[in-house]
Amino acid sequence: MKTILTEKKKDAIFYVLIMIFPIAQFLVFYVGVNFNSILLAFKDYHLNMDTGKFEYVFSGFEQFKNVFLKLSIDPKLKSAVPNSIILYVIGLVISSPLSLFFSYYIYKKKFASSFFRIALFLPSIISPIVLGVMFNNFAEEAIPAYIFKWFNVECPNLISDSGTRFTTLVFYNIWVGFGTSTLLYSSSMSSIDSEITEAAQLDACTGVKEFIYIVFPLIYSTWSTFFYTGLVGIFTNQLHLHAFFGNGAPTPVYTIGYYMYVQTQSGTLETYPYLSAMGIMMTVVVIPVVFFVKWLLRKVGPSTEA
Amino acid sequence: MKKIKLKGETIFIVMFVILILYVASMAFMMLWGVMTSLKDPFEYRYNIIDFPEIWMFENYSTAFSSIEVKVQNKNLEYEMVGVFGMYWNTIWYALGCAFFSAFVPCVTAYMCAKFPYKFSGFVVGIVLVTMALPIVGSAPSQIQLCKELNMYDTIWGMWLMNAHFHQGVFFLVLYESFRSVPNAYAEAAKIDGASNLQVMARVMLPLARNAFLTIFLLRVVAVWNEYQSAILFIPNKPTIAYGLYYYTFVEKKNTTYSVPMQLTGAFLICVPILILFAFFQNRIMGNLSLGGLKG
Repeated sequence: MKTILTEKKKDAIFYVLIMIFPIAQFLVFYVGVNFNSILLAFKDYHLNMDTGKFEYVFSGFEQFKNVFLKLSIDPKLKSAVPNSIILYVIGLVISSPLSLFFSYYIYKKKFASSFFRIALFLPSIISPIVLGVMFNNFAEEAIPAYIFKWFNVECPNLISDSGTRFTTLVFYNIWVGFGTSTLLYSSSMSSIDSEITEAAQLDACTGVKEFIYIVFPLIYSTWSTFFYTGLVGIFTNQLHLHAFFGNGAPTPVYTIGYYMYVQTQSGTLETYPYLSAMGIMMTVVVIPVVFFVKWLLRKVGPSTEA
Repeated sequence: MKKIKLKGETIFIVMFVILILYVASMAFMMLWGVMTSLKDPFEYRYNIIDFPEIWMFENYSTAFSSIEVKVQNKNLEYEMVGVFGMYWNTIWYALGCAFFSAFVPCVTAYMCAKFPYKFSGFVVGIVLVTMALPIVGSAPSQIQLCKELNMYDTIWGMWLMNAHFHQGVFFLVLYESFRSVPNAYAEAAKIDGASNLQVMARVMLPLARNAFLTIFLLRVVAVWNEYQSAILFIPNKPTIAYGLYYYTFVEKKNTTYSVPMQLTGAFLICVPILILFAFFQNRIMGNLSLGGLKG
């Protein structure tokens, strides 16, 4: 009995010693950071006349008022909100179906599927700054030069021309964004029981029908996870603007994610409360939306039970 | 019959064409990039798309000597960090962050899986909640906290920030793998006199080495390529990706500044990662799934 107790005690001590670091890290860098973010949102950075030092003082909802005010008057934010929504919708309507079809092609092991799998993943292992710098120069200078050489047609510089800039950037965003989703979808598809698809083929089920009636319903949970977690992207997607323009992107192409990042990078202790308030407002908006969409997708999704 | 077969295959033919166009466009841009990186900057002004008249392989040695980032040292004096310095910072930054962000979830997952206290369930709950809870815009608070903890602008500080178990699916994957390992292994080791630490270090963690290595490699690639966090948190310890950003957007007055040199810098960043990918491609790609990793 004594030995068992000692053994249990030893286990508990070992458990505590090992778990101290991960829990402390979590408390500081997750709980602490987010708690501090909430506190910051209710503060302002002011000069204290008594001490002669700048310090944070409680300012109530002043920062939240600032956010609302800026949302209505700041041209960058006025562009950023619709751009971010457009970006999400395009991702949903173009990127997501293409990723699914690419994954299906790979899953069915069609011609050169292994090669395409690597080719689609390759942009994911190259730094965004590398791809951004390369594509920026390619679209700006090389594409117009090639078009002129091959077709003798004048083509604008795709990034500096305001008429083509946003479309080119959206294209780029889609173009380099297939890697992870394609890989995850195809991995998810590969776990489908081959007997199910073989039975469908015996019933003369075509590729499209097999995808619609068998494959997609079986990977629906993976797809829906992408769908609702992607909602956060409305507030975080930067459209790779930082890799194209540094901190100086033109106002009409701004996204919320880019706005937040640039403000943080170029920000000072004075701007942190405003940014924290903005982050909290977005979080407050996005959390219920994500949970609602998650619930909705579960409700309307296909049943895969026998 | 043939007609039906062809009809069923139409979708794949369409997909094949789209994929070929995708790969061709990507390869075309990459080849243009390689070609331009080997062009004389002066020649590039009039020859943007044709092959170089002179192949300037020395662009790469020029890049090594001319791509620099201005930083402030501990004594608040300005100094320049060259490509070698940036590689050094990147290696420390990427390896350290990757190690801690793989090791901490691994150990925590083991503890939660094999020590079924109530608190372990609570920890698993934390992971599930933090994964589902999207929090936006906490970077200013993070920076402030790092400054207060004297971690700001230190590579070890970045390691510490990355040593978390609660974000990403890595924890859950490792947790499931440890749960599937029979307790008999640990019991046998304990009968032979092994301590809890020995059981963990010599018996259990080696069983998860495949998953650990995959997470480690994925994180090395991610941290090596990442430059925005480096700008925010370690502005005076520039990484190689940060160096390219600086050269492209901040240091335009540099006498060597040109598109060919930008692209040379770009390849200096991605060549080590492409080599790594070539060696570990199956491990990096083959083990990934939404559930996480197949050990």
